[in-house]
Amino acid sequence: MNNRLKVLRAERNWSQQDLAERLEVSRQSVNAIETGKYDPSLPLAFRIADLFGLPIEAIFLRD
Amino acid sequence: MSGLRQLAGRQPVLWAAVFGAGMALIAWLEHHHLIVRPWNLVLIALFSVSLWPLALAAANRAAAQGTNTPAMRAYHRRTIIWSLGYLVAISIALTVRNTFDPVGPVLWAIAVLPSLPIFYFIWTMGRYLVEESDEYQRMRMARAGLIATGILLTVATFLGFLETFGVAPHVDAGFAVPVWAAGLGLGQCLNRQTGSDGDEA
Repeated sequence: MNNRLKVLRAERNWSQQDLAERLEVSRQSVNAIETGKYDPSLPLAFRIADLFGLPIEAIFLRD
Repeated sequence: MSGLRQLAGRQPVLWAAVFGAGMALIAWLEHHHLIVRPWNLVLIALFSVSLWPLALAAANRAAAQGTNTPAMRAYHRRTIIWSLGYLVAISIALTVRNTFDPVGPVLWAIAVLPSLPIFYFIWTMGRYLVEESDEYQRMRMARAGLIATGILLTVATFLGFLETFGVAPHVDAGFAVPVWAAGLGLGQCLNRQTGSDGDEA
């Protein structure tokens, strides 16, 4: 699954660590999600969507 | 403390190798009757000190990789406790058996003693999976645990049938946890190969 996390993060000038702290996960987890190595659970996807104020489908995209 | 933490580095495998080599050396010396009490216990205590920098190096590595969650810190702390507890327990049990040659309840007590830190180790693994709120880290540990379980079942089945058909000597069941722990280490190495341990993109 593709995602726009890196772009959304860059728009806000957040580092991976900044995003990790806001989501209360490890930086490695943010890196794994951002690079498509790990697809988050639905609850975490909703937390990410809430943080960016966007619907899930505007962040996570089908391959 | 910070100096010692820096000195420990980020390679826990190096300290694990020091500890493993030390234990192998002691076993070799004991096997060839080149060492007597209390020097064997002194050597065990000396090499056991390497478990401390091992835990610090693991924590340093976790911090550098951005994986140092509160649950992981608790896991490392508990790992030190059960590792040292195991060494103390096995040393006491062997010393009491070899010195006093006990029977009855005392023999039962010292036979059970080394198992107690191992029970704590199993509890530590369970607590980590319960306490870890980071789902990606929890998934990685669960995957490493499944790899370890697969390796243990494979080794146990292989050795079990070799023993059944009389082509291999009996192996104590106590080997299970060390094999599982080694499998866990291998699983974590495989996690590193397939996971996302890189720097910020």
